[in-house]
Order: sequence, then structure tokens, then C-alpha cells
Amino acid sequence: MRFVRNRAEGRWLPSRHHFALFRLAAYLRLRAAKPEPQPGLMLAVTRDQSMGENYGFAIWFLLSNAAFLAPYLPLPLPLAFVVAVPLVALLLQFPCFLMGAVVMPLLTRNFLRNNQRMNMTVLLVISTTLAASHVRQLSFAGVVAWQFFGLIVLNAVAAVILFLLRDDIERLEQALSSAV
Amino acid sequence: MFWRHFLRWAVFNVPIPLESIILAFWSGLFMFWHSGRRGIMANLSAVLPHSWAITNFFRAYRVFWNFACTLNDNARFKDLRIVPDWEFVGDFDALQGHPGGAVMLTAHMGSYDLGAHLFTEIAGRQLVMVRAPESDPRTREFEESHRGQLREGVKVGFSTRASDLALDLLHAIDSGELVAIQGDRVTPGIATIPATMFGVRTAIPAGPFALAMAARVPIFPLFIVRRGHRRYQLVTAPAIMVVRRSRNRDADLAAAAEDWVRQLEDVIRGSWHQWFAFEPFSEELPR
Repeated sequence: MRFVRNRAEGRWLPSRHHFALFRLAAYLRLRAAKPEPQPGLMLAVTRDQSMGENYGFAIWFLLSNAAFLAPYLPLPLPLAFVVAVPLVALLLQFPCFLMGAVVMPLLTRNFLRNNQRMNMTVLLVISTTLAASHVRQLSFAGVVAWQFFGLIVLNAVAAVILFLLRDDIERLEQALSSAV
Repeated sequence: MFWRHFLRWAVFNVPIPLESIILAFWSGLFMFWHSGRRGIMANLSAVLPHSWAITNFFRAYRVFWNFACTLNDNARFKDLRIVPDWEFVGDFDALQGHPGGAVMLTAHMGSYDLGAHLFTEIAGRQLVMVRAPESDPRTREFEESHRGQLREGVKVGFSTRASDLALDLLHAIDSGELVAIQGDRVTPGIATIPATMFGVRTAIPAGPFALAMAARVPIFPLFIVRRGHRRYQLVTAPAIMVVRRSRNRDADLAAAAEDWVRQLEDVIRGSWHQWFAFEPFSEELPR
């Protein structure tokens, strides 16, 4: 396990982020950051440590899917959107239950470590399918679908840029963090 | 028991980027737990005396949310070794550098399990955690079976066997170990010291103070406070010395307990959303 000790700018380490878009943004922020000594600080270098990324992604995912679901509800659109938010929070758990309790145990015996990645993929595929059903419409859900696909494409572009920058990123991270 | 298994199962199945949605959803469901919600609201009416009941209703949600996040972080640490970020606030060096044994007094805040394991990892000290046992034997068995996966630096003692445990703890302190005890809640059957917290009468456990007095060691108040997504503060307050000054032992213990209560009040007042007390802490509070 690697940690950044006593250096607050370590929060911008790309390895502390999950998605390529956020990793790239963190890398650019880290390049521009000045040293911020903070005695007593210990930052873990593991994915998903960023509060902005986790909450930002969760809210984006929830609201986008609520927008995709809302037109199918028999309610006026603004009200349907409000109802769809908690409904999506409930519904997105079912693929996790189904995959974790039924599908993955049938596929492999050593499934626990891969479940999260598999479930994330399944949820993104469902969201993409929902988005695709709206993308040709000139509607609220259609606009949300366009931004959904736009961000997925941007994330893919960011992944390519990160691949090209991998040596520089590695050097920056090694300089700031140490193994414990 | 079901919930423990469910949480562990969820840790392996819920993708981390989406966990906050699911935690927010389940925290909302816990608002239907009437006695727990009422307990939090009663405590908040004492901690924040001029607050409105309706505001405390929504604050109760924040307490449940923080509790859910803490349980989740703890489970992810135990099962997947995902470590959160830490900030050490206060005189942590005094505790870390203290030669010999000592008592660490803590509260039901943040993730004390996580804090204990981090502490042993950093300080390289043996730690004995004293806690109330799970009432359900199957839950206790589950907890003990999963404790085996953790570092060997942490041992757990249960506060029901008060007389046996006192000797074990004295021995541990004599051997240079640190004993961590939660001092904000009493369980039935243990000795207590009357105290006044947030202006209402309550009782706190007498054991930590009696132990420190018998072993002639300081008490280090230590609080684990969640400060955001996978981020915790380990707050160390000034040490409390339990000194025998008079022939009245109870008065000497009460003086030390008073110091502890003042420090506890300071921390809870600033981090009320982290105090996981789901029952009113005083008989004087509405139930």
C-alpha cells in the first residue's frame, strides 16, 4: 500500500481517481499544484479516494438515468423526474443483486473480486441502452442522452491521453508517494 | 445478523462509484427506524439546545448517512483492504511516544475499528480494545470469525466479564500495551460515575478511570471523526491524569471523569453528525 505523507497536493494523484477523465484532470491539477505541506496528513494511493469524483459521478449517473426513465412514467415530466430519482436509486440495486447472487456464482467460483467491475459494466450497458432509446428525440431525455454519450467519448479520449502520458504520471506519483 | 452478512455481500457487489447512491437510499430507509431516529433527535436537542425538532429530524438523516458510510468504509477495509485518508490532529506524538501502557478513551464516533487498526499499523504498538459484546451469539460468532482477518496488533476484550477483564487489562497495561475503551455509553451491569453532559445528568463508565488510577497511567482521549468521502481525522486531546489526591476515591475518579466529559462535549458539539448514539444518553431527555 502506498501513501502520500504530509503533502496535501497529493490528493491530485491520478491513481487516487477512478475514471480517465478525472485522472487526466487530476494530473493537470497536480502539474500546476504548489507544495502544500500539511503535517499529520496521510493520503492513501488507491482508486476511488476522490470525494469530488465519487459524489460527482454518482449524482451524474443518478440524474441521467432518472431523465431516461422519467418519460416512461405516467406523470407530467417534472413530477416524473422527481419520482424517478429515488426509483433509479432502488432499481440500480437489482442488477447488483442478480449478478452477485445468481449470475457470477454460476460463471466462476472465484467471483467476488470481479463482481464490482462486472456490475458496473452491466449498469453502464443498461444506461447506454436507455440513453440510446432517447438520443434521436428532441426532448429533455434526448439532450441528457447526448451529454451522456458525449462524456463517455470524452472519457475514452482521456484514457488515450493518459496512456501516452503514463511515464510522466508514474514519475510524478513515485516522487510524491511512498510504500508503507 | 442478516444485516452483517448483507453489508459484507454488498461490499463485494456494489461498484464503488455508485455506493454513495445506495448508501443514501438505505440511510433514508433507516429514518423509518422510529426509536433510533427519536434517540438521535433527543440527543441533538441537548447537544444543540436551541435547535428545532424539524431541523433535528433532517440532522438525524445526516447521522444515519455518516453511520452508513462508516460501516461501509470499515467493511471495505476489512474485506478489500481499501484504506481511507487520515489526518492526525492534536498531540498524537505524545500518545505514540508514551513509554509503557496507557488507557485510550474514545467514543462511538467515526470508525473506531478502523482507527484502532491504523493506530497499531503506524505506532507499532499492541492495542486491546474493550467493547460491549454482541447480544446475539451468531452475530458475535460472525464478528469474531472476521476479526481473524485483521492485524494481530489488535486484541478485543468484552466488557461483560468486568472482574476477569479488569485483571487482564491491568496485566496488558503492565506489559506496555494500550487499552482502548469507549467512554460515552454505559452497558447494563457495569460501574458508572454520575456526570453532567450538555447540561443534563447522565452516567459514564467508571472502569477506564479506575483502571488508569490502579495502573498509574494517563488516559489519552482519542476520537475518530469522519471528514468526508473515505477521509477520517484522528483527534488526540490532552492526556487526563487520574491521581489519588484524597481519601475519597470516588471524588478523585469524578474529577478525571469531569475532564473527559468536557473534552467529549467539545468534540461532539463540533461533530454531532458523527456521534452514533441511537438512544437518549440521559434519563432526562425525551424518549
